[in-house]
This record gives sequence, C-alpha cells and structure tokens, in this order.
Amino acid sequence: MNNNNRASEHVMQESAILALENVIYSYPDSSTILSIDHWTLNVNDAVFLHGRSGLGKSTLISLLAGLTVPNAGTVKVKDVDLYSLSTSQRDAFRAKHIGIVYQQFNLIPYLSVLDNVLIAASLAKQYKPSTRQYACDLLAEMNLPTDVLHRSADQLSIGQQQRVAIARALINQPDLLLVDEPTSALDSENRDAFMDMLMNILRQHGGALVFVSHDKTLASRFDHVLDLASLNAVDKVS
Amino acid sequence: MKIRGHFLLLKTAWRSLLYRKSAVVMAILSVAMSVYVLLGVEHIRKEARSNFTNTISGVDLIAGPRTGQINLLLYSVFRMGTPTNNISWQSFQAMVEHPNVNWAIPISLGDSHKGFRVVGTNQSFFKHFRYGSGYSLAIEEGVEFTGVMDVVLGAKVARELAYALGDKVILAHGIAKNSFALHKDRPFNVVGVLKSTGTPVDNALYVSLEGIEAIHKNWQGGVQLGKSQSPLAQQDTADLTPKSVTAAMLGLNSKLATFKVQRWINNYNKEPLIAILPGVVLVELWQMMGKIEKILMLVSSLIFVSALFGIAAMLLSSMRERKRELLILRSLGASPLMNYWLLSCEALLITLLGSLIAVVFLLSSILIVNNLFSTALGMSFSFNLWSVSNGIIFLMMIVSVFLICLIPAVKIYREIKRT
Repeated sequence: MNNNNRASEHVMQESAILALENVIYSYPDSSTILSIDHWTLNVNDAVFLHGRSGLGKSTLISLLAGLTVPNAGTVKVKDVDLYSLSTSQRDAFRAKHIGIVYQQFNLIPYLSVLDNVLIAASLAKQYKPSTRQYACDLLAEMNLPTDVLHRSADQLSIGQQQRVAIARALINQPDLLLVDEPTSALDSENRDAFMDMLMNILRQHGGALVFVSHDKTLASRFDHVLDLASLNAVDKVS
Repeated sequence: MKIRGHFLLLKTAWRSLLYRKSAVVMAILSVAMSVYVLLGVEHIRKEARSNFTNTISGVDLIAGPRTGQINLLLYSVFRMGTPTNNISWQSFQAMVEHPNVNWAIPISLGDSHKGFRVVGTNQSFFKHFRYGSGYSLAIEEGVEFTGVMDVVLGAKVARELAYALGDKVILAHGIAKNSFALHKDRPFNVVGVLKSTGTPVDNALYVSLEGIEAIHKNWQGGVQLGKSQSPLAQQDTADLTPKSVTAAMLGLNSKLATFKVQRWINNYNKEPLIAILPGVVLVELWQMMGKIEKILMLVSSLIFVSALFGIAAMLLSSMRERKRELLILRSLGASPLMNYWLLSCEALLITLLGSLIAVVFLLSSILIVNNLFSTALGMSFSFNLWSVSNGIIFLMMIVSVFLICLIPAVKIYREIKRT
C-alpha cells in the first residue's frame, strides 16, 4: 500500500488534484487525531482509503472538503490552498470543485429528489437552463426511475437516497469526489449494485475519487488502495 | 440564475416549515397569541387615552370658582367630586357679555337622581357642547327641554333606569345615591333622551337652570322649609332667574383670545374665579393616571419578550434535526451566512404568519366588541391598528428575530467547524 502512495508521488506534480503537506488536526482537547506529512492524488485517480472506525476517516474527509480547519499544514485542491481562502471563498470553491457523499442522510428530507440535486447547482452558482436536464440524466444513470424525481427525498429507500447523493455530488462536474462509507447502510446486493453504478458513472464523467471505507471487500474495485494507518503519522507512533 | 437560487432558498425554507408542520403551527399560534395580546393591550391603552382626552372638545375655557384646575375639570366635565363653591349669576352674565366670548354653557350641579348627577343648564348646552372629534349632542328620542319641569336624560341613565318619555322623575338634594332629601313636591317630566356619546354626558340628567331654581325655592342650606305651594301656580309667577351656577363652559370667537379671556377671568375683581383650558388639563390628568398606562406598557413588553422566547425555543428545539440539513447545505457550498438566512427566513415566515393571524383576530375582536359591548362600555374601538409605536414594535420584532436566529446559526457554524 505504501507502494501505491509512493507511486502517485512520482507522477508529474502539475497533474496532482489533491496535495497535503504536514497536515495536523487536533481535537479542542488537544489530542492529535490526524498527522499527514505528505499525500498527493492525481487527476482521475480513484483511491480506496481503508481504516477502522474512530481513526479520523470522517475528519479527513472534512479536511479535504474544506469544512474543518486543520491546526497546521496545507491542503491543496487543484493547486489552491483551501485554508488560505476565506470561509466564503472556500465555500464557493467547494461548491464548484468538490462533491461529497456521506455515510447516510445526504439529502434534505423535505425537498424533492430533483430539487435536492438542483440546489447543489444553485449553491455553486452553476445553474443553467440545461442543468435540469443534466440532473435528470445523472439520476437516470444512477438507475433512478423518473417517477421518483418529484417525490420528497425521505420517501426513498436508503439505497436510492445514496444514488441520488452521487448524482448530486456530480451535478457541478467536480474535480474531486469525496465519498465516506456510502455503503455501510446497504445490504450486500444493494452495495454491489451501488458500487457498479458509482464506478461506471465516474468512468464516464471523470474526476478523482477518495473513497473511505472500513469494508475491505470493496478494495478490489480500485486502482489505488491506501491504509489510513500508514498515512497517518499519529497511528505510526502509537 | 441568481433569481432561481434565491427562489430555491425560499422554497427550501417553506418546505422545511411544512416538514415540521405541527411544531411550526404551535410556534405560529404562540406568536399570534402574543402579538394579539400585545397589539390588543396597546390598542386599548391608546383608545382609552383618546376616549379620555376626547371627553370634551370645542370648549375653549371652563370657568368656575377659584379651586384646583383638576378639581374644576373633574366636577364640570366628569361629574366627579364636589364643587366647593359657585359663581354668581352676575359673573356668569359678565362672561356671556365679554366681547371675545361667543357662547357660554352654564352648569349647575348639586342634585342627583338615583346616583346619577343632575345638571342644570340651558339650550346652549345642546347647541354648543362638543365631544370626540367635534361631534355635537343629538337627541335619540323626544325633544330638548323647553319647560321649567322638563328633563332630558343621558343615554346611560335612560337605559339603566329604563325610563321612557313622559315618565316622572323626582330629584334628590345632594349627590348621595340614597338621599332622603327628595324634591318630592316637584317631579320632572322626561321629554327627551340623548344619543349615546361614550362620555360622561351619558351619565347625567339635564334640566333647565330655572328648574333647578324652582325645586330649591323653599329650601335653604339643604333643608326644606315648610310645604311648597302648588308648583305650577308658583312657577308661573315666581322669579326663577338663577342666583348662581357651578361652572361655565366658554366658546370664544377666536382661539387667539383664549389666554386673554383666561387672564380676564383669573383676575376678575368681583369674585375669585379660575379659568382652565380643558384640553391641557385633560392631558395633565391623564398623565397623573400614567401609572396605569405604564403598567399596561409593562405588560405589553413582557408579552413581547415572551413571544420572542417562544420563537427562540422553537428554533433551538428543532436544531438537532436541523443540524444535519445545515451540514448538508454547507457541504454543498452554502456559506454559514446562507444557513443563517435560511433560519431567518423560516423564523420570519413564522413571525409574519403569526402576526397576520393576530391582526385578523384583533380586527374581528374589535368588530365583536363594538357590536355587542360598545353601549355597555360607553366607548367604541377604532379599527385603525396602525400607529407609530405599533410600527416600532413590529420593526423591533423583525430585528429581534434576526438576532435570535444568530444563536442557532452560530452554534451550528461552530459545530461544523469542529466536526
């Protein structure tokens, strides 16, 4: 796994979509949970980040998304240092360039499926006349029947909700897709179908993927597999 | 595109309210209730004040024997308290003849009927007395008094005592409700009933000055001396010119002469007199009763604060479920400010809907109260809820809503920052 890490380091620097340098994150009670010396990810790379729960996987996603400010270090996405931006600039950057899918409860329960996708375009100020059609296409690609588009999100099954979340994360054609344990609430059948669709849609639309999970059986679908423990200097020490 | 974005934000706020229907309905009702009571108390306070200060209008000066200003106002206008002295008929005539005096209403007090005061006056009372914003007195049924033994009833007197035209009324000497000194020998004849005015005018009986003089013909110092002669026979022959009146309401040719005439009366050298400007003294009197007003205002502001707490409680209690949505919006690139706007939009919608319901309820309450109780209350309420202070209250409420929304918004912002 370290090989994979090193392999991506040696690829040309300008094609790096994500670059972390000396990133440290501590809880307010000052216990350090994440310490990453160096990590890069290339354009169109899909990396499976494996780690047990409680090791800071979700915190890492938050750091990469520009939601949680690290205590030290730089996080660069597309060569932009996220934490040198102001909060609102960072919000705008995230809206445009980063798509996020969480473990569960990704959707706003009282909005329709279509509005849940469209609001992402609207918040990124990317709403064009063609956006509505594009959203419908994405939802269709994620195998969502047209009759659910106008249903409110909380009427969908969890598997369907997760698929809507993927469509929404892709609506602004992001450069980086962050996915945090998206299958943990799905049964094995749904999980496989979901993974098939995710990998398929990613292949078509492009973009780098950071996929975080504790479920090692999914690792085989990825070119790059990385253990969070090997990345995180805090774990190496302990 | 921008319009579409704002539309989606509003739509989200609206959908979010619908999603939490029951809690939101309770919040709207609690806001409505508070705003209703708040505006209601404010309205009653203002209407009471304007009803009070509108008790009398068009009267430039009230003249009486030298006494306290407020005392003179109380007994001449509100028929409260007791006059300590009278002014002589000669002095009253001097006022009538003063070049700046247009008209003068004499007022002679001292008798009563079943607890209601009797006012001796003359035709100029019906002609010149004004109340409210310049309304003149009107006769509900019958006519103004013309004969010596005629009496015209105030609306409330007629209603409470159930008197009709032609009824005989025996006056009592003095103002006690159960007076034993009755003017039994000279009953008055009800010839007219005044329309309700919502002022103390309704609470009195009106007879001519001559009538007052006639019933006191054989009285001295509050005691009847011997049996009176046949009333009619004597009235025709006796000189019924009054010897004195209790007070006089004056209308002047020109407002500019007010202070001149006031000074003339105050410096009148034949007897000690005082003249007051009723409007000014009314306001002074109201300010003396300002405590009641302050208590009402205190009640209003407490209700106001409780309404705000209600909104805050609603927002904070929904925060656990809201946290997730706001985090989703943040991860989609919504700024903390936009989350704040979303919360504010919702709170504002609740406040506006609640206020709207409150105003509709209040207007219907006024309609009901005016229709059912206006005669009993002796006042009717205006439908105009708008006033500068209500505007300020409303503005303060909107501003407070925005401030209150800061609490959950900042809380969420911090939590997301910390993860």
